[in-house]
Amino acid sequence: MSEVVAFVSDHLRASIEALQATAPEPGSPLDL
Amino acid sequence: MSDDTKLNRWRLFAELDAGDAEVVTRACEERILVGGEELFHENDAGDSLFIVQSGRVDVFKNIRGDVERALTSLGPGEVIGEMSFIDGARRSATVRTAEASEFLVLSRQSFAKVQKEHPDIAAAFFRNMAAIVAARLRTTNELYREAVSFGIEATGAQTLNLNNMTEELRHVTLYLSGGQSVSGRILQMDHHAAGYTVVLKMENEKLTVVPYHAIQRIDLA
Repeated sequence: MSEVVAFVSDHLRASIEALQATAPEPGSPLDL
Repeated sequence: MSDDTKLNRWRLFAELDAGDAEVVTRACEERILVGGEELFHENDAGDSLFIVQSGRVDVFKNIRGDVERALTSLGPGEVIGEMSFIDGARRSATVRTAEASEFLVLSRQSFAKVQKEHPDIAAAFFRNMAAIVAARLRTTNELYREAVSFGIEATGAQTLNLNNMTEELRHVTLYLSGGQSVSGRILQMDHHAAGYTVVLKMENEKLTVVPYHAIQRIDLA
């Protein structure tokens, strides 16, 4: 079971990193 | 409400009876913080998870430099720091108390003892934790989808309605961030983890794939 939790947790970390990467570049039109 | 009832309502203890829950809580330490205190900071080392007993905390993620994005606010019964508890890696976010708060603190070392002496309790605890982490993964995936969607809308693509153009196969010229331009008919738009791409059918019948973030302007013929 701990492997299942670790697997889901790995995906959560990857998802958080992907979300962080959507932050706009400074000065771009999306940089509100 | 008795402590037993309270524990049963907390998702982390959902499958545990009062005696089993007590085995886990006995392995925990207690921590009390005043409002505005940091429980841990993003990228800190640490392998303990925290259960909010009372109060409220805010979770922040650094976006760039000193800019933070508030991710969520958590109250009694909620779990914090579970990823570092699971994999021992650094903290993925910063957590600060929004008001005076009490926590149960469970370290990997303490839980290893529970796992060794009560594997059935540890298994139930892990099942609950898997459900909590999976729910957070769903939420984060949805936030990611919204962030990508926001990017498309804010840069004007929504107004231009690229999907309609695809259906009508209108001739367009895409001006790219590198200074070049390409002309042709938009054949399709693909969405994948890295964002959107536009597939353009050029005058010479060749297909060109253009990443959406490279497009600065679109002129209709």
